[in-house]
Amino acid sequence: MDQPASFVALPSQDQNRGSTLRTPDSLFRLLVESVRDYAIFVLAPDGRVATWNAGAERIKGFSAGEIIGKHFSIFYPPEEIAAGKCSFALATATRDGRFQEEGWRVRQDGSRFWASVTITMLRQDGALVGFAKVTRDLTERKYAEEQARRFRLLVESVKDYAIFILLPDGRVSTWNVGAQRIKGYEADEIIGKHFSVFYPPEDVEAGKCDFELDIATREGRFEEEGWRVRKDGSRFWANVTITALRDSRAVLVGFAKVTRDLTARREAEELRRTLAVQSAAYAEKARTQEFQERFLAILGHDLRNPLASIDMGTGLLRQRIADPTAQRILRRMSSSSVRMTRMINQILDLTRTRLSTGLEVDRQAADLREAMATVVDELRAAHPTRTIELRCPPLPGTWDLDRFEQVFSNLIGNAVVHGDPDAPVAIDAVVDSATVRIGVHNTGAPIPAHLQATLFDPFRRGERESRTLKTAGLGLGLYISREVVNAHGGQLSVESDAKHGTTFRMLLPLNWKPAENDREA
Amino acid sequence: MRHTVLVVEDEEDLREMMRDALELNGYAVATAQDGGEALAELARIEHTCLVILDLLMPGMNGWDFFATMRQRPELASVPVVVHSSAASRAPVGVNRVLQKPLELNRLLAVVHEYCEK
Repeated sequence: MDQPASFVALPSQDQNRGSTLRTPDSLFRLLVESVRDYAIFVLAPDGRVATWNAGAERIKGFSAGEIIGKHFSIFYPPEEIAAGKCSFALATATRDGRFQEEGWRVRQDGSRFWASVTITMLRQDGALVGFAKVTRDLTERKYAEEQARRFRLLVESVKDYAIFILLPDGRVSTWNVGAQRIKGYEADEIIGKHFSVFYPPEDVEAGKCDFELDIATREGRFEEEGWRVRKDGSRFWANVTITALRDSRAVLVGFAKVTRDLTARREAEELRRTLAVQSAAYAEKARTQEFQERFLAILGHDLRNPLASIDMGTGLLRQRIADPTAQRILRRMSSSSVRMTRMINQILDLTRTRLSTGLEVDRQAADLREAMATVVDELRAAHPTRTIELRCPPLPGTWDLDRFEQVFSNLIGNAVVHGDPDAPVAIDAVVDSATVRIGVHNTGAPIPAHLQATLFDPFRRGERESRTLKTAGLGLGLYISREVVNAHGGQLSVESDAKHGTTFRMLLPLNWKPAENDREA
Repeated sequence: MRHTVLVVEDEEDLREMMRDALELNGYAVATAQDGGEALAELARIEHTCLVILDLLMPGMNGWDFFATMRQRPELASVPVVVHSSAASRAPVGVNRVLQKPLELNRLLAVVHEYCEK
């Protein structure tokens, strides 16, 4: 310790008992003795303690009476004594005038403290008279440094977070493993660069970096989630926290920036959202399907049972009642019941074509000519004044004959009803190795051009507006006919003008097989 | 010998209408409203010439009834005509399939094939 340049004479504490001013020596002794933050004492040349002060007592625990005369090795841990540290310290001080170090020392109670120690050789008239030893307890600082070191190690080794420090101007000044992993830069590539390199260009242009530092400076902290850019240009969804760092005088010294890559979490959230939407859609679809199935069941089953009962009842009464008026009424009831049945069947067919089930066709080995002949016979019986010409070779194949009876009944029935009553209705079929071509022809007023375009649509206005007793229907006949033909892999079309009359043309492949999934779809 | 037609139909109006239609035309008729009742009737009736079978019924449905019938040697040869709105799904092995609704004359024609008055 440097000797003070001068002393101010101070009144003695004993002045009440006899007023004497202290000398500089006595003041200096008083100073040393009363210093509490430093242990300051003198060792004899052989290392024994010669003086003691308040600081030494506070730091090391011994009172002056307990320690004076003891060798100073008592302050050292056994391993250091064994290593010859005490002799080494005194020898160094003797040789160099001074020995200085930091190291562990032992208190009276055995506990250790981290000490800064200075041993200064004391000479008088060239001869060694002892050593001044000044010791300071730096345990707290030592612990703080140790904690800081551990914390730095911890931060540097964290992989899941990018943790680094920005200078007040936004340049990167530290870098950790997590930052390297998340952002892709090595420490030496990024330190010194401005942190705007982590932001998408549009954010940089919008002034986001300055904005974030500004908020952190004013409010102490800024946090957000947003897109950031890796070294390779790819983007990731980041949770970012920027904390202002201030020194003990509240001067801004930089920012701590902690970034987490939440891309996986965001993707998981998006996947969860998508799945939720999909599962709601599936549930809706299931509800719709259940509704459709219920609707089809009502249409197909529940409505037909009472109709069957009515139909059978009218038949039974017609069988048993001879009165002509009653017979006429019962015929009308019977005919209404037949029409009702036809309409139910048509709506059922329409519904099936519009739903996932599709129109059912049951293809069996059969002669298509039979379906035509059956229908022609029935129509000839119902319209004895009309001429219906059928020119058709046998047409063996796999057909749903019931469905084709429905088709021919519709097409030939229309021709009879709408055609010129004085001209024949002609059905011509030709067959080659792969295809059957069938035409149903009638002369008379053509189908108006504006109706031709929508002729095969369900619930056509044309048919409904021109309803008569015989044609009264839902406007589904041609629609279902085309569906039946399509279900056999064929095509149904119409040509109609004033000169040639009206011809419905059907093209059917002979050896067509539906694709496996056609029925399922 | 006068044999019995068994009508299996869950809808009462239709079931009783068919009973009337057949009885008025000279047939002996028994009825059941589901497959379970029909099996009991078959055990009771001395000789069944025909079963007219609906498919969609609560309790034992037509498919299960038909399968049970065909497993029992004493019933395996009794003719079965399906009369249903689900005609296209009739079980394999039935004698005939008729789509509902059925006209009286067709019903009588079918029964005439299998049964004596």
